Amino acid sequence: MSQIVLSLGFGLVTASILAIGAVGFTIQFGVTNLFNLAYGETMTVAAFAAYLARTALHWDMWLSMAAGGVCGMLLSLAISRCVFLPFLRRGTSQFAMVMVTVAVSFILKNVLQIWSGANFYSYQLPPESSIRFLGMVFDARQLTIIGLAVASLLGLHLLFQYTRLGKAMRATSDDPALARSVGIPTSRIVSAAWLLSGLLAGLAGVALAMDLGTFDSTTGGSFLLLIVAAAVFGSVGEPYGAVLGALVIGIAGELAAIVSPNLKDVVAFVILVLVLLFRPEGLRSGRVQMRAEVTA
Amino acid sequence: MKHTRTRWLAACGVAAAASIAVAGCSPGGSGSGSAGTTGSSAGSGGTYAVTAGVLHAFTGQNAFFGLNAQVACKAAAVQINAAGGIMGHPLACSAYDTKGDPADAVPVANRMLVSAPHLVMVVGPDGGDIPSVLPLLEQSKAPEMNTVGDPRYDTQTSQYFWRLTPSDSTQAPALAYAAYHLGYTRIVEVFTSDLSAQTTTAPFQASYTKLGGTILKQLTIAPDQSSYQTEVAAALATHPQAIVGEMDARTSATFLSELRQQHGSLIPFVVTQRALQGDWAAAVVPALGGATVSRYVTTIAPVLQSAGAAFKAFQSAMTAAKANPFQVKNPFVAAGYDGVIAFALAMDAAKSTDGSVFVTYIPKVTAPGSGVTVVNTYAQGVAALKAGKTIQYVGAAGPMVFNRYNTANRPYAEWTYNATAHSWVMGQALPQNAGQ
Repeated sequence: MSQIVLSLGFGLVTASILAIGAVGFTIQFGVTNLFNLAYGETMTVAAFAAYLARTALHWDMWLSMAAGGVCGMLLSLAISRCVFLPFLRRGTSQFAMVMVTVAVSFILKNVLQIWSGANFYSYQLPPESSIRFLGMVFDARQLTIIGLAVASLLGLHLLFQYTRLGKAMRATSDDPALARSVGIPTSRIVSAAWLLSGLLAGLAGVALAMDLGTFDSTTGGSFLLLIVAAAVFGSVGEPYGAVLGALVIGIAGELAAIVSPNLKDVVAFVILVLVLLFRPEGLRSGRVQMRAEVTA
Repeated sequence: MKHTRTRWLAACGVAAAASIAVAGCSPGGSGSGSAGTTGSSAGSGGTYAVTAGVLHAFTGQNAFFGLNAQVACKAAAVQINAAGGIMGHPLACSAYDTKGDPADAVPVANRMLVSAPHLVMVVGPDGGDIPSVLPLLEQSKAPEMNTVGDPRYDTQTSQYFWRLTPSDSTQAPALAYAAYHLGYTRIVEVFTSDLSAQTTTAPFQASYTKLGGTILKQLTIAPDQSSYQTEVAAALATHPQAIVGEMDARTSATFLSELRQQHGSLIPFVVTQRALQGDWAAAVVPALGGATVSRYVTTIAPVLQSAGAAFKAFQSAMTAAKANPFQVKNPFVAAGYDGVIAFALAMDAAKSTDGSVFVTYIPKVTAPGSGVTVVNTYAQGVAALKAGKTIQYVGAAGPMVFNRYNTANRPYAEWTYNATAHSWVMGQALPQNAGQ
């Protein structure tokens, strides 16, 4: 029993990082309808930006994480404006667009590999004492990551429910033509979605690198599969579904490891397949609020 | 105007096609002979360069394999060429990137076989690629040297396969012996699920329990996961004296960081030679700190000489090849360097660069025996051969005595990390056949 409670706690940390990443992925998909497989590399670039802030500028870890988030925002917007949007304006098919995102992913990954020399990097954070809570064990950094996830998701909830920007995002997601006809500047809203998605990718990338202890040019890309799985699990384009997906995949993986470490990913993906088998649109199908064609 | 431009483009196209065709037909080397020929009898003309094809991963997670093999080859070439080359032919090392993927390795190996000018030996491939590539090399009669640990090759019979370092079936007993004699009689065994680690598990368990040790828990973990917290908790729940096993660089960094977090400090970790590969310390030391790695981690890896004529020559050649300090202290790099020199001496002894001819001379220039002249450098070996002597080449990694299955068994030693020097330091050598 105590092992199950312990694993629940460990799963919460993984789920928190997954949730931040999956919500960013799904928000961007919801508004732009673009399945962006270069998202993982945005996470990696942000992790490196935080590393530079920490080692070259000697910033505090959390300030460095903020720098990573800002870097993610700028990179995300730059890629969307300079690469994806020109293709979308020419009416490139969705399948071809996925291939464009794969190409961008490869380019970023290889440029990073050349720049980083295929070496490993670490924020070199000092060890912290364990904190026991309801039979679970965390350290202060992990609790901060969980807190960051909760704060980010709460902030997004408030954004979507109570702000003009959030409501405009939802409107653009539902029907961009109608949104434009009522005066919503959909082009700016799409840019805002890229910025928001990049911010969350950046935060997730830095949190992942902190949690792993070490990272390299492939770290974000290797985590992308779990992020996509969480997003698909909860219905792509649906932020609350992505949170649910992250929780299920993060916790199920840790619980499965009690039986056998090799079952970790197996159980998570078996659950995913079963959900998709019975609910092809994901768990929160029918409640999708962010789904649209980009026309910016 | 448009018509003129079209004709101009057509002319350029024809010129480009012609130049490609000419290039394809021209000799690949600087002298006679065409690209892709694998060796030839000595004296078949000219002072053309011969090639050692370094067939390894140069990109991706296993890129360190290729970088280490390439620098070993280049250092050996420095020494060989300084002594006048192999029967007058300078040696060049050419890299061929398998990306660490068996599917990619086959076309890359084919490209090497057809395009490398006067290919006389192949350095590599590594464990993942060798099953798919070895048949091609055998077919082309291209002798290859490797450092794979897979025990499936313990009784292999190909005359083109030469393993420069011991099999995992001898590494596992050495690991068990070292762990037990360090005083760790109750341990948790942790290996990643990849092939190179899994080949060690069964022989390790057999040796360790035979010595009287107790394995409290056996964990096989998938590499490169984002968390191993549950696995760490399960290991710590058994209260082991040490963790023993093999994990790649990134997995080790994450696993050991989480172990330290849950336990409050690290517990002793006895690891295979994997830790001596270039990427391991680079990933783990920043995550844990050099002092922690130095205090808690012991690596069991082959012996490397650190003095004597052979090591001095190796150091000097490595400096000329622009090797980094970690590579100079890596026994696998030293073994690769020794392998290239031994192959070159075998060609000299056979008076042929033809793979099917000189392979039989490889054990003849490395085996001990009464009346043999021990040589430590390529120049010494060539001089002794010219004087009509029988030689034994003993290089930087020590004697390289091949058994009947073309595997060079070597003694192991305990290595620890020196946080001040940022490198692994060889400690006490284990007895020959430790744990077997």
